[in-house]
This record gives sequence, structure tokens and C-alpha cells, in this order.
Amino acid sequence: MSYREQMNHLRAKKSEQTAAKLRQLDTRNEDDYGWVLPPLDFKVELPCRDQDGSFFGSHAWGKNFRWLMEHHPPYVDPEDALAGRWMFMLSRMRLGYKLELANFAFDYSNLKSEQLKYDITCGIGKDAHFAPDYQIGLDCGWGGLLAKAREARRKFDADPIARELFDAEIDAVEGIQCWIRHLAECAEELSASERDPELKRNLQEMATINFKLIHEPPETLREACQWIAHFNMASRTYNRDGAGGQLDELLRPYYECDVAAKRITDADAEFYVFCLLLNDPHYYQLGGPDEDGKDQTSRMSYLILDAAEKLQSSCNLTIRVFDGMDTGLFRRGVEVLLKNKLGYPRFSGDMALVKGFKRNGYSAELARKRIATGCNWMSLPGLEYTLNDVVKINLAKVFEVAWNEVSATSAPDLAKLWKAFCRHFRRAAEVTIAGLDFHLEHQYLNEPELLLNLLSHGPMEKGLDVSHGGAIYYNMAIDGAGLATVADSFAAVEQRIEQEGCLLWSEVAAAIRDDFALPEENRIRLLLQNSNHYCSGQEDGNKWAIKLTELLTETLGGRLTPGGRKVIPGWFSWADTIRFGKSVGAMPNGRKAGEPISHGANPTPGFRSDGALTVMSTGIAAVQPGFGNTAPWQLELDLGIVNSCDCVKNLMALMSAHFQMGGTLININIVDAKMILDAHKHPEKYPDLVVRVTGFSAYFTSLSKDFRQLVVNRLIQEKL
Amino acid sequence: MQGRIFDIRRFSLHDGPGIRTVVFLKGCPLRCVWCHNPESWNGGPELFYDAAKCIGCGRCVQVCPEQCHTLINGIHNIDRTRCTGCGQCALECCSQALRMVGQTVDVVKLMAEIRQDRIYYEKSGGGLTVSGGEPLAQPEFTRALLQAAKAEKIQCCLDTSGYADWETLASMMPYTDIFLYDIKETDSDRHRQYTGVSLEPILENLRRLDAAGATTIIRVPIIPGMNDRSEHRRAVEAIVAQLKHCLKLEFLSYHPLGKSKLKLLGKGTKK
Repeated sequence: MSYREQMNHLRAKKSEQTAAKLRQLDTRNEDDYGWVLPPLDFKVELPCRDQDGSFFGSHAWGKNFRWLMEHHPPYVDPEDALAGRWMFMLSRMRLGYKLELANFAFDYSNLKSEQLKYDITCGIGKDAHFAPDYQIGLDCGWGGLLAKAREARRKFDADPIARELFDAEIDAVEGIQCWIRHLAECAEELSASERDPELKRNLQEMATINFKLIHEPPETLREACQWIAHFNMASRTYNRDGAGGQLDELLRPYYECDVAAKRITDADAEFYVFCLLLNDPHYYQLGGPDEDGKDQTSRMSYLILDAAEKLQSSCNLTIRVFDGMDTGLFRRGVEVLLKNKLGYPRFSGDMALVKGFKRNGYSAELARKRIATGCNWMSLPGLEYTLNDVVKINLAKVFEVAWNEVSATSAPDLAKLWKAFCRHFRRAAEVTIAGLDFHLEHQYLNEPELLLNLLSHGPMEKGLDVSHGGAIYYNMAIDGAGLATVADSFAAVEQRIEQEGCLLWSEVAAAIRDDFALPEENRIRLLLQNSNHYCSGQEDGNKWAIKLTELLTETLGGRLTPGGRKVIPGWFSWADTIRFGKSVGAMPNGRKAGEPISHGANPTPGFRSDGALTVMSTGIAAVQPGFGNTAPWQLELDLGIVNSCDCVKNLMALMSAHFQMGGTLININIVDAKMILDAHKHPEKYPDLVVRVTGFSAYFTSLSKDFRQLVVNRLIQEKL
Repeated sequence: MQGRIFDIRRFSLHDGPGIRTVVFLKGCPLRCVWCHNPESWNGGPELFYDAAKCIGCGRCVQVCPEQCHTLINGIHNIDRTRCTGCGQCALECCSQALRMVGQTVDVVKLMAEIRQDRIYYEKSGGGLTVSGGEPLAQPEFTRALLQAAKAEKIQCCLDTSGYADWETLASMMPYTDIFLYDIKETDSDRHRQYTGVSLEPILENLRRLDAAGATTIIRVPIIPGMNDRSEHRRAVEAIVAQLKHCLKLEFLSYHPLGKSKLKLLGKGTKK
């Protein structure tokens, strides 16, 4: 069987597994993650649960995770290069789990009323969302990590909290080693009965590799891919962690060594990487500068892109674009994006990311090491704790509070509205910051990062969980959400009420209260909706979005929490635009109650009749908070653009210009408008359609109707 | 210098090399039966009306000085014979169902918008394309616009049917990097039938333009049932083979956008 046939088999199998997940669990509105359903008769019987069905603390997490890994059904496909698929998520096995509100064992009711008032996603009790340094694991192997945990256990024997933590770390690693042994045994057993000589040899090799990796560090490319896959699956099983690393540089030494020893061909290397990417769509960066500014692009970078091109499934690679880069990698990335039309790779802008991160007082060398390892976010692998992408303030809600307050006064006006908005936003920021400190104070007792601790520099050495002083740096992310919705609301009030005087504040306030339900209020709504707005390309169109960005950065940029941790602002809503929208009534930009708020740094869909991407690009570049976190550009390109002459060159030019103006991250969907509209109506007809929802990509069929509508609304169709 | 345009389109990838801003000038001496921009024919301002967007608020009825608009039993009618193109109704229309096509702009203001995408032109090898309508129908304005862009080192394309006096066309050469030159039909009779004007001056202008060293891209719309004949394609290729400064020949596919625009203009069929 050729690699091509094996890839076809593996792709088809993943497609079947995705369909099975959908049948059993309905739509998920999340990343694909690469997990598979466990056998129907498998029962989870965690050893440590409280009376309320939840669990917390290092001991319980360690024991429960150990049980899960020791009992985890082994998964081996004779045609795969790597063993294993993950099936469970321990963090979701606590009773009362919600994606938007994490379980937390400590009371923060003093913060809750204002968190609710401003619709703050506080991040308290949230896990992962920072990046591991895989190099630690690749150097040590599981045996080495176990030895480090045991050494730390001895070193901090006098500290009861550290003792409990490292006992749990030992449980975690031994649980993983047990699971890897089961994988090896499964591969060995399958090889005994396999008749096809090539598959038999593959299974034997898989068994040998897995037996070896129980204790030893990897030495070949296939072993390195298997080790990374082991860590990814275990870390997903623990708490959904999906952060990746600089994949080309992590794998390059193994590849070069194998090639020098004539152990593998490029086709072998491509297949191993294909299997790694298929195993789990973790977030990896390719290319970009090393800490000294030298381009990291290598043959391995291209092989990973080649494998990704053949993958044709959910995938999250990011190419870092910078002045000194091998533009061939940039070009190749755009070619894969245009050819596959599956939303990968994405592209990040080094210049603004480095410049921004330095504003927090860090060196350029460190800033270059902060790479794309998550949905919208950058992180220093193994060095930093961040709560990236899980702490958000719903600006539309803050606006609503200010609007209602000012509308109730005798003489409401725009100046009063802006003043009230600023005051409420600053209060929302303080409440959010207080939540960060509360989380950092207690999270280690609630949910220690047993897996990410292993690949972080500090926890083993300091005897502390990474969320509790174990990390070297703390750069806590706070994102604003609903930028365009709020900017356009201010702009509409300014134009229609203050400048033109064609609407009265009282009639707008009444129409908003009525959700524009009355026939005459429809006229008011249209007037508001058709006023000047963010990314209109008209004079002052971006004015309010820039003012909001200034407010965000003045309030949060360079800020320390009372507990002494740095805060970094960004504009990113993730897929929360629907949830946030449901908590906000009608707005003066003509948005009706409950409709989604705007996405990330994007303008409201329909921002210009020509959908001019240059206008959008310039607008989004102008609202970058500029402290090293992103305000991503979510871009939907219609086939009309893709099929135009010199599309690769023109897209590269568009992105280069965006990054030169300060852009940080571009997520692109290439969509056939007709197909996506049909898929929206009949998702079952398109089981393999993958779209980039925000920073993550997902099967279109796995999205709920609301989410599919969101993607459809963002479509930019060329009219000519 | 002022002129009349009916659209500005930024991030165009179809009208010359790279990323471009296209300014569409109003007024055209041709009446191509397949024209996708029929709003470009008339040189004056015209009213677009999109019935699907109308909410029946009646503001247009109140403000129209000529009583063009009526709203009876919720049905909106426009008597276009009375319309002077003053645009009062469009200004009042909250839903943008009514829209004036053909705004008067000056070169300075237009350049302010064109300049905004300079970085994209530089990165992609793009620039400004002046199109229409027929830009040579407003020669002073076209020349002034091209000249202003050239002065700022923005690459310029002129999208033309070539139907103009040679002197007018030649006067654009110092400010035009590439002429996007349309050949609609190569058979003289059919050309007159489909466009309303004769072919010969167009081909003569092209020959002279090439002889003068102007760079061209020849663009040929292929319209099913009209000029999608192999002999027409061969004839075009033969013309292009004679040109010394032609960068490429582009056959353009037909899209039926013009039909819906005619409806917006209140014209059921093409002239």
C-alpha cells in the first residue's frame, strides 16, 4: 500500500469518526480536536469525586487522570504511522461544567454582580491557554520527566502543597506511561494477526517505538512525532489544552539526522507529519525569526506544508511573516490555502507582534520567541502563563449600561454617553483584573496544570504550579469584544442625532427599547444602520474604533494587576459573538436585540458595497492595541478573488501591507459562496467541508445553525 | 478639475496588474447590448431605485419638488419623465432604496481616496485604473486624474473602448502606463450592430497607439450567442500579433449584471 492510499484511508476514517461524533453528540461549535468516540460499553469511574460530583485539588486531578489513562481504550490503526487517539476530557467530567464558565471551588460572589452587569468572561478557573516547551519533553522523554517529578517531590518534601502537586505529577506521568504501554501492546497484538507484510512491519515498528517511548526520549523523526502526539493526546485528555509550538524547528534535528543516516526519504517524513497533523489539530507555527532574528525556515517547514496540503482536514498551522523571511514559504503557504480552501495556514505579522510585546518591558530576543501557538494568540513556550483568549469584556454590554444610564437623564448627548461608557469600561476592566488575581491566587488548588507543568520552565524548579508562581513570566490577556458594534453605535448617534439632527435621542431610545419592532421604528433603524461606520472608507469612518482602541490600551496596556502581574489587551471575541450578542438588547447601530455582536477586529458584515479588502485591512491595522497580543483579521474570500489572475501574488501583497501597517494575525477562509449557502441549508451533503470559524477550524457540519449563519454572514462576495 | 463618476471600486484584481482602485466615469458613446454598466451610458446623474429595499415610508413623496414619486396603497411609483436628477429623494431615503448614480467629484478629493491604498499598489505592482463608461468621453477630467496620479508615482491604467479622436487618446499617453484596450467585435457590421458605432476608428487608434510605443493589454469580452465565434477569436489574435507593445490578450467572460441594473434604472430592455 502506498502512502497515498494510506492517507486516503486515514482521511476517510477521520471523516467517518467525525460523522459518528456528530450523530452521538450533535453540534459542538468548537475545534475538531481530533478525538474519537470511546467504545459504547466503556464506563468512566473516576476514583475521586466530591459529594456534588465535582473534584478539585492536585491529589484528585492526579488520581483521576491516572485512572483515565490507565483505563483509556488503546487505539491503533495499522495504516497510521502513529499510535493512539484521545477519547475523554477530564476537565469536562466535573459536574456542572460549562465551556463559558469554569468550575471553581472558591467563592467569588463579590465579583459576580459586576461580571454579570458588564457580561465579563472572567477566566476564573479556566485552564491551559498558554504554550508548553515541547523541547523539554523531547529531550527528557517520559522517563526523564518522571525522574524530574520525583526529584522535585524529594526537594520540596517539607512543603505539603508541593508534595501533593508532585505526587500528582508522578501519577500523571505514570498514567501516561501505562497508556503508552497499552498502545504498544495493542500494536504488537495486531501485528501478530496482520497478514499484509507491509502493515505487519508497520505495526511492529509502531510497537517498538511505543515500548521505547514509555521511558526513553525519541531519536528519530517518527519517534519525535509519536512523542508529540502522546503529549498532545494526554494533555487534551487532561484539560483540552491545544497549544502547539515551532513545529519545523522541533522536528528539524530528527529529520536531518534520519536523512544523514539514510533512514528515511522525504516521502516518509511527509507521511509521519501527515499522521501527526491528523492526530490532532494543535496550533503550530512555521518559519519566523529565531531569537537572534535569523529565519527559521528549513526543509522541514516545507515538508510540513506539503503534509498539510495532503491532509485536507482541520488544521491549525500559522506562518510567521517578517522582512527577512524566505518568501518561498510565504508563497507556498498561500498556494496551499488557495488550493485546499480549508482555512489553513494562517499568517501572523512578526513586526507588530515583536514591537508590541517589547512595550511590556521585554527584549526583542524574547519577543521573537513569542510564537503563534493558539487560536488567536501568541505565547512564550514553557516560559509564560497567560489565560490567553479566555478573559473577555463584552463592550456591547458596557455600551448598553452607559446608554441606558444617559438616556434616563434629562438632556442626553454624545459627550455624556462617551464619558459614561469610559467610566463603565474602566470599572469593567477593574472587575476583570480583580478576577485575574483571584484566579492566580486559587487556581493551583482548584485545577493544577499537571501536564503543562511538565513542559514549563519553573514549576519543577520552584515547586509551584505554573498558575501560582511556577512560570517565569505572567502576561495576562484581556480581550475586548464587539469593537465594530460599539464603534458603529457611537458613529450612528453622532451622525444622525448630533450632526444631522434627523433623529431625536428620545425616539432612538424608544426604538431601541422596542427592539425596532414598530413599523415607524424600521425607518429609524435603517437610518442608523446606513450611517458612517468602521471600515466604510469614508472620512472619519474609523474614528470611533480608534477611540475605543485608545481607551482599551490606556486602561489596560502596560498595566499591572494589584497582585503584580502584567496585563495585555487585545481585540478578540473568539466564537463568543453569539453568546455575547444574546445578552445585549438593540443597539444604535441598528443591530437588533440578541443578534451576534461583531467579530474580533472585523467590521460589521456589509461594511462596503464593494467589500474592499484594502479598506478592511487598513481599518483593522489601525485598531491594533499594540502590546503583543492580537486583533486578528478574519477574512472570507470568495472564489471570484481566488480565480483572479496573479491571486497568490496579490494576496501576499495584501497581507504584507497589512502586517507592515501593524496587523498581527490573519485568518482566511476561501469559500465558494454558492456551496457554503447550500451547505448551510443542507450540512449533511458536505461532511468534509472545513471552515475557519475564528482562530480555529472546524467541520461545517459540527457547527450549530447560529454558527453556520455567522460564517455565511461574513462572506465577502465580489460583485463583478 | 471636476468630472462625473458612477462608482469607485477599491481592491480590484480584474482591471490591470496587481491591486487597483478603479474609478468608473459616467458617459459612453457605445451602446453594447451586453453592457454590464448601463448606468454609465448617460453622462448625467440618474436615479437608481431598488424596490426590494423600499419600506414605503413616503419621505421621497414629501421632498420631491417635481412630484415624481407616488405611494398608493403601499405601491411606490416613479415618473422618471419628470425627474430632473436633483437627488433630494435619495438624500432622504433611509433604506437606500433610492440612490443617485453619477456624482460630481473633483480630482483633489478623488486622489485623497486613491492615495489611501498606495501601500497595496506598491506591494502588488498595482495602481489606479480609470474606466467607465468611456473615460475619453470626459477627456479633460480623465487627463487631469491620470496626471495627478502619475505625479504621485501611482501606476495608471486607462480602460478604453478606443472610440475617440486620436488626439484625445494620444493626449493620455504621457500619463498612462498601460491601456486596457477593448475589442468588442472584429466584424464591422456586427460591431455596429452590437455597439452602435463603427469598428474602424477603434482599430486605427489601436494601430497608432502601438506605433507610438504605448503598452496595451487587449481585452475581449466573449458574449454567448453574439461574438463567441472562433473566427472572431482568431481575428483578435491576428490583430494582437501585429502589435509590438501588447503585454497580453485577455478574453473576458460575460456576466449578466447589466440586466438587474437596467431594472434599477427603470429600463426594462436595453436601447
